[in-house]
Amino acid sequence: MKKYLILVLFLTLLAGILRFYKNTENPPSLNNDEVAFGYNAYSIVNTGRDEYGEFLPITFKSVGDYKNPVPIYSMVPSIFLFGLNEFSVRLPTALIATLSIPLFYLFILTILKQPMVALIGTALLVISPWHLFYSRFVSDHLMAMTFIFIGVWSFIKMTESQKIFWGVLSGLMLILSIYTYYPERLFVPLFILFLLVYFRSYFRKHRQILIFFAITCALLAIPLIYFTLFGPDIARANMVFISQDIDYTRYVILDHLNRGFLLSHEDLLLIFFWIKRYLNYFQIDYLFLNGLNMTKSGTFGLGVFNIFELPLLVLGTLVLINEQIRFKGLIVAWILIGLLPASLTNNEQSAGRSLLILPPLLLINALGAKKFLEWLFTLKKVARLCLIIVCILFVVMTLTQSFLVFTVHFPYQKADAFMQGSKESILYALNHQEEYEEIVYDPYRGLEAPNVVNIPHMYYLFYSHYDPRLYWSEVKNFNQDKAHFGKFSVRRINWRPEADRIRKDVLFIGSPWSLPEQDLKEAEILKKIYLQNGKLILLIVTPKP
Amino acid sequence: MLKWSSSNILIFLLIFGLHFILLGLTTNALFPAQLTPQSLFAFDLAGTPIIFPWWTPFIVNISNIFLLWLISKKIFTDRIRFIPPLVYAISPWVTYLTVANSIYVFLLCLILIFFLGYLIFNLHGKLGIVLMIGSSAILMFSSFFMFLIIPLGIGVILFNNLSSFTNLKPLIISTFIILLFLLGISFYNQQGFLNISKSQIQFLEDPALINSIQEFQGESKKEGYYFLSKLAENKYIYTAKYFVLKLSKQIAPSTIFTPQEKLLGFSFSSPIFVGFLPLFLFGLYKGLSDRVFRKYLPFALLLIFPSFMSKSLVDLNRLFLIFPFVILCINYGIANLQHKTRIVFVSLIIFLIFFQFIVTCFDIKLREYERFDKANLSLFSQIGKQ
Repeated sequence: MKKYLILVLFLTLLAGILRFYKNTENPPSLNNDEVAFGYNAYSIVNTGRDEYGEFLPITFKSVGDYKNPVPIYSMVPSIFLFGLNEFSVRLPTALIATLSIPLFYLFILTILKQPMVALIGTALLVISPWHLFYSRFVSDHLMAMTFIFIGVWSFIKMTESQKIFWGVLSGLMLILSIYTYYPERLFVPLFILFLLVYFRSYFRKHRQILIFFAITCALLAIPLIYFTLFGPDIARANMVFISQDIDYTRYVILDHLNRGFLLSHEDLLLIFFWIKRYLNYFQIDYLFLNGLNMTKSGTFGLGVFNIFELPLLVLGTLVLINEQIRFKGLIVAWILIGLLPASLTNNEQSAGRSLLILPPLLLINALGAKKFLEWLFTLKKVARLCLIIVCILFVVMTLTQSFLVFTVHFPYQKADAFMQGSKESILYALNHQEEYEEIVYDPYRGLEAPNVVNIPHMYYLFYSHYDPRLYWSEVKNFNQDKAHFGKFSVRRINWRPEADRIRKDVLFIGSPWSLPEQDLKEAEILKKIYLQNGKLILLIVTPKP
Repeated sequence: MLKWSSSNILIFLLIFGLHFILLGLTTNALFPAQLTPQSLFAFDLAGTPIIFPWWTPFIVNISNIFLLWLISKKIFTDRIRFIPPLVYAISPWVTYLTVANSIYVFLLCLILIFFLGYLIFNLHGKLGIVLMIGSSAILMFSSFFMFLIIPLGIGVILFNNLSSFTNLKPLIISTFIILLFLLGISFYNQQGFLNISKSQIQFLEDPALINSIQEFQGESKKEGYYFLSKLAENKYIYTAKYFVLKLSKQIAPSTIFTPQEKLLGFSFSSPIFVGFLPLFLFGLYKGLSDRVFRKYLPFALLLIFPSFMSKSLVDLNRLFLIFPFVILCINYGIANLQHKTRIVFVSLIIFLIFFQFIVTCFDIKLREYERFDKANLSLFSQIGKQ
């Protein structure tokens, strides 16, 4: 047992290095969500209120997407200690991810009672591209997933030890996940229902524990239930529901060409469209080839699992089907129910929304790995050695490719998605703001087309450490993609002689789409900002008529 | 001898009734839009292309339904022998390819005759071998892929001890003679053979793969990781990944049971209704545990080969050849259900299938032509309604 603990400690250390090392530089910039999370947490630290002046809110309005509270409140200690910067914003996620490593070992050990499988599963989690990717920036998905597996672990400990403490902890963790990320609002209630049915014979004999568990869940969930059903959160659900998917509206129901009636009604097609989306999560390319979307579409980046885990997943599935495995039904139900929220949203596949099924899948992979090792040791010495060498080479090659994707291709190809350049442009504006009467920032950017929408006002607030009290009191004109407060304006730039081209004492920041280089004089260009791959992404100009 | 009881007749009437409803709706929505006609292989090679008229698949379909019934009579023992022809009859995969005059409907008929011949070979030796020889000959003359697959298929039969060399001697000799004959024509018309093979085998025609390798290596070189990139991001590894991706796409349930890959490039109809998916998975699982079933698995892989060789990830037109294997797995799943669970489980599945059948019929009637029109596909040689 001691040697397993030492190994787990080593794996935790390794996980920490992988998750913390240069996490302020890679991903290459704070994205829209991160600056929004960070500024709201900063506002809480200084005033106890969010950016709109709401006192300790349960839901943060933010940019109209009504963010969950846990990621923001989790940043409060780090921002208090280290100030508002990239490190303090990303610290909680990386820390939770690192500390989840030994907890994951205990989780698998509790479920399967097999230390070897638990160790293998833990090792797979340390190098899991799915877990690693979401550990390196603010990730409500990862936090919620961690709370869920701790909740399930506590639930099983409760059934084994009959101690109320584990029941309360389980309820706390499961409900906390609902306050962390939206898909959990669908998953957790369904999963709790399943747990109650699955363990019904246990609860018949231990009603007291059931009562404590239920009360914990209910008390913690009441505020959120109210907000979900009657508050503005429902707007968020409508925004991302599968019926808003472009593929569905444009190509399936043809922009409502024929609504039909009864069995011909277009809403019935949504059922089959949803089934298609659900089964998409079992595709090999999503699981092993490019599911993380860390490189350009149509290329082989990284799947949510390493490719060497493909045979492990197959073997593990066969083990799960054919052998007596503890809590088999729970593992399967977790995966099947866990995919419901992700499949009901308007994305082809979302690695973030489906992250909550990572624990049971890794458990299956670990079972497969153990089966493979058992078979390996039945071989003759020479054959075993050859196969071990081949496997090691395969794993090394896979991890080498993972390393290259993380360190080179992801920053090169996806820097725009992480709004690289925003910080640089805002810092320039802040350093020169006295020289201008107005700072105009065009939010539309992108390499292929101006289809990436930034929220520059949040970057402005973040990097200027804007006083939240001042921000509340200022008149803010927010209207779709426009914003205006103080000197700062967010709107489309109209670089024509009769419009913005002739304005004096104004600093313009925009992409080459709104500030075409051929229409700019050399003297007007104050700064050019490039992505890591060398492509021009933003220009800072002032008109010189 | 075939026994035609009144119940058999009624069931067949139901099967054909449902088939013609779906076929009629699809024809009304799409006809005369067709796939670019494909000439028969041997005639194309000889310089005298022969193309089937548009009504050929309509006739062939009727024989396919009967053939599937005859095959399942040999394999399965009770009323579930009507399931394979029913699945075939009500699957949009069949109706869409029929209306589009796909040659693969015809090829499937010949494959079914070959398989039937193999099954009855033990009981009616001469008739079985004649069916096998006849169908294999026509297949090899008709399709470039069958020219490759038939000899390999016979090899699989011998290798897996599904029959002995002595028993199959007439088939082996006839196949060998046809192979020599076709190779002779290929040698005579080498350019023609190359053109045909180039048009059929487009596995690595996608330039995006090579471009992405070069781009990745370029980026790694800039950051000083060129050696590592050469090791882990070379064309051999990427080709292997592409191989795995393509293979998995052919056999993925979502390809066959959902509109993940659009039929004829535009449709929202599933090739096979999703209600059959649990039965297929269960049948496949049970089959993989069966030693005899596993011996027939290589045939399924051979039938995937034409789609695997296409330019796109999946070509549902070519993948149609795998249809009988899928149907037989579904039936195998039903056959292995425990009696008690069978009633409940199958009732739910019947409801889902019936529901999807009705919704699909209405959808084809209301929206399918507009989807086709919107897609404006170049592979169709005739576009628009009369």
